Amino acid sequence: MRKKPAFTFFDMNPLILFCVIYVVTILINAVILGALSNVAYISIRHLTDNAILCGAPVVTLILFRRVPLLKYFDDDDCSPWISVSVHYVLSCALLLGFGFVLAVIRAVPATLADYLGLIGVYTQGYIVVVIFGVVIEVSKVESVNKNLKIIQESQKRKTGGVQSE
Amino acid sequence: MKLTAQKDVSLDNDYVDVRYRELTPVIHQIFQLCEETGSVLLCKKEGATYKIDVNDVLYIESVDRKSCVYTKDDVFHLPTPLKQLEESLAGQQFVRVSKMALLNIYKINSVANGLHFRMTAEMSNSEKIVVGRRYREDLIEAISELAKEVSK
Repeated sequence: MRKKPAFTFFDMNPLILFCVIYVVTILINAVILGALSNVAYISIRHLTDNAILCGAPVVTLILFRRVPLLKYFDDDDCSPWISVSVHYVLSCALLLGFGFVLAVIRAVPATLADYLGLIGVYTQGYIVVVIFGVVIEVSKVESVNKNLKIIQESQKRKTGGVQSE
Repeated sequence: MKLTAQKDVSLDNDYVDVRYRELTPVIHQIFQLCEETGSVLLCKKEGATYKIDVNDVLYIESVDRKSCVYTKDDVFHLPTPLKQLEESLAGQQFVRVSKMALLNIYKINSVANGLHFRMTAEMSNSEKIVVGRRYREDLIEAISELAKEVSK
């Protein structure tokens, strides 16, 4: 099977993606929300809720690879930015769905502000992961160019300084 | 047609011995296959057949299930599909970079990421070839392995 390359998070293995998003979300919850509201956001309940909510981008990714209508967005022909944008919108929709189900299960009345807050935190995590992926990609290109230089130098040595064409 | 195959581990090189009464299209195809698996491609241009050294090829592109072979100054045609070429050139300096193209690693000047975050490879004739997302890891790995090999 062809190995999936890692363009940002989009081509990651769903399990790794889940772990990355989970950790980033927990950190954002603990640092930003915890500091703003002075509430400890690392509780069993929050960890469980976040695990369910973090399933949204992963489920969307699996849908991208399985549902014929969505497969185009996982294809080479589709611009990565379009892929990421569609993934973001769909995963937001799923996230709201999961949020609603959680609110019903926990019998907690969720307001519009709660849902907007949920999308806000998710968006922050999403941006962090995308930027992280972009940085990795840039560093990869630099290392590839270094290797290309090594190959070119060796070719020059072989051809006595003249590049064969 | 009678076919005889013999495994001999003591041989230094694989060889194919073809005995024929007449040069039929099938026999010609066998020759073509043998030559394509080597370091020469039998390409066509305006009805004439040319032997192109794979070291002179910048990249091979698939157009309508046929392949176009690009050298520094010329374009040649091959009736062989890209998939078959990829298999016959396996182990050489060619690497698949998209559904449509095979690149000669030795002819890549540099790679870059565009604003759309698609990797492009700049060839020695300054042409830029888009590297597909699914193939970029293969390209990166092939370049890294070749760099390790040449620096030994």
